Amino acid sequence: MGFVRQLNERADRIRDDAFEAFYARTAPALWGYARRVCGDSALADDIVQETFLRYLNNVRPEMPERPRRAFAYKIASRLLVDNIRRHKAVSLETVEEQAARDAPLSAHEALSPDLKRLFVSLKPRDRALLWLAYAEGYSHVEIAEIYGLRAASVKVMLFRLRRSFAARLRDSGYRPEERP
Amino acid sequence: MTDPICTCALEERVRAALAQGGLEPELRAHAAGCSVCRDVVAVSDWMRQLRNATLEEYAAGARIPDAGVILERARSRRIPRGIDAPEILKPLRIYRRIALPAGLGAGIVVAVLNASSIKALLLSLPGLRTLISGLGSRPPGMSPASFGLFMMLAGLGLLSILVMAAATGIKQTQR
Repeated sequence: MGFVRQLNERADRIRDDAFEAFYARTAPALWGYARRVCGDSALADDIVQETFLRYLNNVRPEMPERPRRAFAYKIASRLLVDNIRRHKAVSLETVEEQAARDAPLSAHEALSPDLKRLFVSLKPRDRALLWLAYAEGYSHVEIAEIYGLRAASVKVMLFRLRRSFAARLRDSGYRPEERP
Repeated sequence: MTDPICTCALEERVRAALAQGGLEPELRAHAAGCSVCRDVVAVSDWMRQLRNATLEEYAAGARIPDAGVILERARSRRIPRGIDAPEILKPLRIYRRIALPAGLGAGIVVAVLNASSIKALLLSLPGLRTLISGLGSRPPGMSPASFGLFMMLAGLGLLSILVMAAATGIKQTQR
């Protein structure tokens, strides 16, 4: 019995260590996603916490890391949709714009308030799609899985979003950085 | 009319490479001449900068608990294995199903077994005998048709009260 208990404790420790490493790699980006989609950092804190609690009780540990991360984004997306529906009375744009005004100057000079406002003016789901595709690099299929949509629909939505957003960036005089 | 969707076979590769940090020379040369990939580069670049700025904000002030706290909370939320809630609630469900019929049946049996005592008790109550004998007889001055209608309405009223009482009782039992 003692041997079995030792084995179980060891397995628990390995799982806990694996989760801690996964948490350290995933939590900042997931918080960023929640923050930019809902526009409220306190709500993003709550959503990240709840996401990982649900993740721990539902994830299959044998899954590779990328699908597990996508699973965490899926939980967060559902929580975001629920919260945005619940708090629709509060204008997210107002919250975000106020935060943008109050925030200290970013080290990223290209992110002028006008361009930030451009992103904030999008609907929450459009912000989520742009973030997942272009900030996190998820494919159409992965985004479709996260949002419970068809991959073909995601492709069309992303095409339209990207085209209009790129046109607005160009109109604002934004030029991508030259990178090696 | 909806706009045609322009795609590029390398779009996903360009997007994935930008998410990883940068474009290989071959993809960069392609993106320079492809309008779809040029848009992908512009949007990706801007989004990556927004992501970096957001991560700075995270490092400066996000308030999320440590992984250990999350693990503890997740464990305390879990339903202990080995406890089968439906199995535990089975006697309660059976009781709910049989409570009303069993109660009614027992009441009828008791009433039948003690019919004579109940009848004697009821008849001994002052005024009840007069009321019962008066129920069947038509008051003076009332036509037979009016009396019939009055009795029918009274019967329906009594029946509806009994039905309402039974329905309320059943609903409360099922809750």
